[in-house]
Amino acid sequence: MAITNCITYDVYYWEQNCTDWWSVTYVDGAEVSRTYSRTTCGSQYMVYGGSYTECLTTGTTSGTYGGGGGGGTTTPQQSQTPTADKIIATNKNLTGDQMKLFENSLKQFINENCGSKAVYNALINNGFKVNIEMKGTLENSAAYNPVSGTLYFKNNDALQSSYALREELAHAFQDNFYPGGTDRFAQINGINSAGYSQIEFEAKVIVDLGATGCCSMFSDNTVLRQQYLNWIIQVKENGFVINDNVYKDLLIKFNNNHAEYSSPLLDELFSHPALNSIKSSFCNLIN
Amino acid sequence: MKSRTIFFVTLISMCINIYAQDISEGFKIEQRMNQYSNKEILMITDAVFPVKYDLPKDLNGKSIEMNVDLPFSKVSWIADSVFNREEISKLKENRCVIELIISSAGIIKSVSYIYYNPKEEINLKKLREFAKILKQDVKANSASFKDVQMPGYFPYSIILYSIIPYDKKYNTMKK
Repeated sequence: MAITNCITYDVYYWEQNCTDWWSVTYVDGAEVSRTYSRTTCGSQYMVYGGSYTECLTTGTTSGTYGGGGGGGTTTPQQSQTPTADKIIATNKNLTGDQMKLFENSLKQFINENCGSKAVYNALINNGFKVNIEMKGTLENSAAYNPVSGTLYFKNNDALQSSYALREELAHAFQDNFYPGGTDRFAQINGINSAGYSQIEFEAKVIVDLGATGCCSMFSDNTVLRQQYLNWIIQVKENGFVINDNVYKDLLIKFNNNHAEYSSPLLDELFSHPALNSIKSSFCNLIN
Repeated sequence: MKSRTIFFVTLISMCINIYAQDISEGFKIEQRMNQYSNKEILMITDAVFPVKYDLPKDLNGKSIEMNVDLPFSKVSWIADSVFNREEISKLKENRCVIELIISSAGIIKSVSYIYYNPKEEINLKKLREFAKILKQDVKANSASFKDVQMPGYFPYSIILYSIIPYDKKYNTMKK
């Protein structure tokens, strides 16, 4: 069966209002000569020019989407959320519309760059799936609970945020990567287990090294933020080679400066194994 | 002879200080060192926006970690519109990163630049024009905006060199 994927692009263009000035000579009310003088233009401004959709049809696939099975006479229905289906084990309470929002965010996230694509691919290649649930009482916009393997979203805005997805999918990736999962490093009843800040820091570094924008940490400390950004750029420019001493130094600063993430540190996590396993798939997108 | 030498050294020193504190087209231009690469970087900083600002806070007065989404495709497209082909390739060569300060309503209030590989000449007028259009036409979105009780500002960086020139293949515009 042929699969058609469609992407909608918005189109913008510039407009500028210009005035041509002419010197016109009249004799007895009749124009006798006209000479072009100059053209003056206002500032350019951007205009939304509508959108267009490009569809790509790819080969044929076997198997079915969306159930079916049994009779052999039923035409299999194509899923509305094929990208999301690959990483979702159980949809706890999302409506059809919310699933479509999630599908769109996920597509946006995957298409953003090769870092985000690498995280998604690592999950589906390992057959790792998460549960998904809307939870209005969530403190942050999104969260991943390694104990239940559930990806939570606070509201529809969070569902539409590819940034929220980035970090939480990085946590899902870590949960799949570390033997036995990451629940032993989790926050339990408000207490951060040993290694909690290392898991948080590693996930943020995965996001920042793989993304086009940077960085949510050290926002309240200009000097540390600049240091961290300098390091991110240096790692990107240096083929994603990470100096463990620098990583440890920044991790300790993160642990000391972000009370909400602070925890005892574990030796086994200083070498950032989950990050090491995926960084070869990152790229700079330099043409 | 001795006094002449001293005068020469003082003059050199003054020139360096002037370069380090140069303000032009509303930007403060400074050279610094990236301690991780041991390379010089060039900071082209908005000289108008205050250096110190308050982060947005939640109901409990706690600073909110702002995770934002920006339409990178639009930023890339605007860059292609403001700069010509040669300037785009200079920005790429200079490893230009945009430093934004964004309000908790998603409005870009300040635009600065960092060159991580400063080699090529800078057209400050074009950088100012680019900054002006970014402030006018680009808005940040965040699911965290609804949690803001005390408005404020937060920093955000765009790795510009990785998204120019504009390529629709990588840049699906988000409505």
